[in-house]
Amino acid sequence: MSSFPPAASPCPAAVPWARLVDYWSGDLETAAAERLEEHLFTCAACTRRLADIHRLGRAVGAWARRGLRGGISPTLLERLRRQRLRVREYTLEAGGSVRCSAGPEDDLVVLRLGADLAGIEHVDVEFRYSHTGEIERTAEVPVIRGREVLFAERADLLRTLPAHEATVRLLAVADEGERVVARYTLHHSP
Amino acid sequence: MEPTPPSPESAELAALARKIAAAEPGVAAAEEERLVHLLGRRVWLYGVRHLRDESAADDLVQKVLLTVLERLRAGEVQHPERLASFVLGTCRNGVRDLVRGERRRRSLLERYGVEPVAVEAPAPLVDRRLGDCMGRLSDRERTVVALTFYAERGAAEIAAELTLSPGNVRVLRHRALARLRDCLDGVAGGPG
Repeated sequence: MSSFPPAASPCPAAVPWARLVDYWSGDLETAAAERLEEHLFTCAACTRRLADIHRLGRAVGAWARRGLRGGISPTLLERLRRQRLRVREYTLEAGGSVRCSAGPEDDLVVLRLGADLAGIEHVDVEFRYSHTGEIERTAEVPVIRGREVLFAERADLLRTLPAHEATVRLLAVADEGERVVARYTLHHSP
Repeated sequence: MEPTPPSPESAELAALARKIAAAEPGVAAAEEERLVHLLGRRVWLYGVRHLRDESAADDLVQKVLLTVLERLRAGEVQHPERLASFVLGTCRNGVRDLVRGERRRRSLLERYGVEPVAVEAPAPLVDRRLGDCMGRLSDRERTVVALTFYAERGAAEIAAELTLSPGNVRVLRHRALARLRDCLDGVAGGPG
């Protein structure tokens, strides 16, 4: 594939970045997408910017396969499984506890934390570890369909941890303060 | 109303098209190479966008540029000043043919009980800078970006899963990608 020819000059009617992203993601209506394509086929500058979005997207795809942790969605989980990642899942309802571990063949461990999350778009997820006393908090973890939060951690990191208990809290944060939506207890063994 | 003057690129494409059409076979090799150089990447990006597969996009480039050159050599492109539109139309037909061909292939595989072989394209090297920059996004922004580019979902599907509106998803996505782009440019020391 030939290298991209340098743009002679910036485009006088440059397509906004957001619109290029929408086009690339398939979120423009057909007529608008076709008009945009007519422009791209005569504009090296805007096409170059589209190529940048493609490259960024490819890199994100590669990162997701290796580095995705924290809040996750069922669609992403399914995609990881199709790429042959070995995922161990633990499902808990509010107030529940589970004995958990990361097996030698596992790539990812996922907690499915069920709760009444109707009307909440995102929560902070807080882990309190008994063996260190440390508290780790992840902000703005997306809520899935108003009823659960999925949280992933790399199995290779979990395998380094000693036996311990972790308390997990889901916190709804608003201007007027925060409230605990649900609690869970994990009994981790190596 | 005054007609819009052609862009410098359109003018160059038209000039190349006329030279190729007027030349004896084999004489316009430099013009044909320049045309391929100008259009190849555009056709490829069009293919990736519509076929979501880089090797299928490679096939599209071969198919489209061959068709365009053959038609130019045969003097069958009526309006050289609208060559870009002609190429775009050829791309649309090419994608339709490739999609139809792929459907037929899958149907045959299903009929004979053969599982299609999914060959994953080699992943690009994961830059540590990208990992650092992804780490600076909120969890929600990271999820939206990953759903867009890794799971290849549109705003409506992402919205349904994350209990957001499609408009919210687009805003989150735009913001996250702009921050990623600026972070990568800043870390690389390049222009912002």
